[in-house]
Amino acid sequence: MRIPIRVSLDHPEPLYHQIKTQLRALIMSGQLEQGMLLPSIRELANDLSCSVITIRRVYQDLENEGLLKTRQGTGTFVAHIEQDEKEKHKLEAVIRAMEEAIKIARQHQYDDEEIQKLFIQCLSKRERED
Amino acid sequence: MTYEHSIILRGIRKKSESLIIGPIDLEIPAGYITAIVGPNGSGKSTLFRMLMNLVRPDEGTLQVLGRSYPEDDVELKARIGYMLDSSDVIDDTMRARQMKNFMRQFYANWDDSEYDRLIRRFRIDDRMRLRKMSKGTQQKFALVQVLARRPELLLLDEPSLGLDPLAWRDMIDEITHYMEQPGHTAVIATHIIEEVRRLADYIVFMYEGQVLGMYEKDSLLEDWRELWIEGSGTSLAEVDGVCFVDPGQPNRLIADDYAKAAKELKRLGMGIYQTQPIPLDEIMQYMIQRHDNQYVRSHEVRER
Repeated sequence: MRIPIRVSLDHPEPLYHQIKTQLRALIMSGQLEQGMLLPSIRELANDLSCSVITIRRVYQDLENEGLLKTRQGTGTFVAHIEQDEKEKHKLEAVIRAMEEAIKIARQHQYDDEEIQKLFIQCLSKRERED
Repeated sequence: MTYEHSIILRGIRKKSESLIIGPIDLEIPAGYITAIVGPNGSGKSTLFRMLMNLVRPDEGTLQVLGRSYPEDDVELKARIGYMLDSSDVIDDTMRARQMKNFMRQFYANWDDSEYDRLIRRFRIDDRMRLRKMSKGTQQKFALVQVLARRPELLLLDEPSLGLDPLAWRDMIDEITHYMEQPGHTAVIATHIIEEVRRLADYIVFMYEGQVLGMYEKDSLLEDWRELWIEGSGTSLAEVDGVCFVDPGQPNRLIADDYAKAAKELKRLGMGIYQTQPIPLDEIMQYMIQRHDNQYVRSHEVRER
């Protein structure tokens, strides 16, 4: 079984972080459904050309966050996640992206009024394209 | 499984006509795939032969699966799956199936259904005589025999020699499948970088009979970077984490500890404006170059 995760050494984030972020997003968005069996640590390591040490760390961390469950002998499954948890995660992801945009705008000396104007421009451009 | 390391070498030395090996100290963890890489003649095959007690070290101690030679020789040969080079085959006028029937009697864990599955998977006709088989098919058959024994430790010396791309993928899958069993360990000597990328958890670099180092694969690839730096003034070679400098405008640096180098360069007020990962074969090249430089330096000191 394959899951749509892509990693690259060109990316400034370490492999471990790239995999964890993407796997978390796949679970939170519901693309990987509750109860789904994930590839074994060895299989995913092979798919992504990384070591089992990295994958084991990712699975363990997501298990600690309550996103995954391991059953001895059978494997690692997607855990049940409450709807409001998922909502919260979605909201956090959007807020993070917006904060990042604001940071970049400030670095280029835009003031708040200009940033708001830019945001509205982007929104209406998007509307036209959709 | 009662051992943390499948293989422990301490102070191993071996002198032959062509090569002085060691001293080697090495611990290979159980449950992982370790790739041994290095140029031809760096001692990889001799190391494997020592692990099978086919070559005796002159000095040092060697422990495999918690046991030692010579006292546990028979037991260890049954627990290790050492894939022989096809040129080592006893009698190549035999048909493959005859060879199987001969070999299986020596291995208590031999699994006939696994053998049948693998023969089908690798599309081998085991009614053929071994000498009539192509090099690649002989290689596939050697791998099938070793896997059907269900060994605790798999020792593969250049396993993909002569394999076509399809058979190569099957081999990668089968090694992955073998490793699903808890406690299974594989050690693979290879020149094929793609094999290391796909399979390895740890990498051991060998060169001229020496072990240059053992690294966890992902941290190795994250630690080594090529950096481009504007400006000069400071002696860039002295910067922590940097091991090679190619001066120019901009300077090109090779870091073997990227995090450390980046921090130090920032402190010195030098901006990095481009970084790039370094492929494994180039990392090996730099390690060898560094080793050779150190060798020259230590001899210069002695001569003074």
